[in-house]
Amino acid sequence: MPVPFVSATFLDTVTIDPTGANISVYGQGPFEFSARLGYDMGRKEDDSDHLRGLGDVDMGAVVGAKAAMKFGQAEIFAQLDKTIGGSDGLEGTIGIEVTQPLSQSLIVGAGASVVFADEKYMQAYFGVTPEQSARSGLARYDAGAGLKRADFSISATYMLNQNWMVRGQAGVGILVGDAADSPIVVDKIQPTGMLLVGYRF
Amino acid sequence: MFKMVSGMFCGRASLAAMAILFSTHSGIALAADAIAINSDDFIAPPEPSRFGRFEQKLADWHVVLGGGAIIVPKYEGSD
Repeated sequence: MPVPFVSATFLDTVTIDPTGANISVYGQGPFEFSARLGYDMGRKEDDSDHLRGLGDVDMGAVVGAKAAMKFGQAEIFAQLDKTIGGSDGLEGTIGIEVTQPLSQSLIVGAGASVVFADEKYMQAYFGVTPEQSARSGLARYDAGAGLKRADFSISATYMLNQNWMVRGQAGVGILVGDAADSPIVVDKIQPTGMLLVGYRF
Repeated sequence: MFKMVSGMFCGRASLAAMAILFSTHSGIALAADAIAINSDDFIAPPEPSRFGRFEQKLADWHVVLGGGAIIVPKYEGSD
């Protein structure tokens, strides 16, 4: 079933996409600061048999801020996202992204980041309360604040012509700390992959 | 277990290359957090025409439309 995406950027300042809106509030030289308004879809226990009995993590609004600094082809960034409602959690991300054009039509990129989360977020997604334990059969578990995961990705974008492009991306996330030790977690290694064909208007 | 999602996406101006971010929602984990690739480096600006004023307003917006497939874990921590 198709998943619709609606996204647009206005004057390179406001970007609206399926995850919400990003607004570039300050840009000077290599520095850029932006604000974000989005949402966290939460988690449903019906998503997996392993989640049965844990209940749902409700959806919430996300308000965030990001600071980035460019060094040539590289950009380092720090991002903070607060969920209002749902987990009521706070996530912080620090990372680096590098993009390098190899030719007029081919761009490759790589990224690495680490994600921190507060206790509310960790407990909502990785903790198991006594009640949840009784319903699910999973061991009771208290997940504390700290480093949650590390992510690594590579990508390649090929411009077929002035309008068409193909993009592939592969990545892996590694859950660490209390997240990795949670009985909710079946596999600490979280691979992702994507292949897209796009048309630029 | 993984879920494959196929569908449409719109990207950002430049050439919003879509990036995957993990979301804890029921499997569909994707985001348009930009790995922004400035297509101006590759694509010459369009020539002005008799619809110049209208096109000028449209030029303030940039859109990439497409489709693809994404593979992500069902939830953060699933196999």
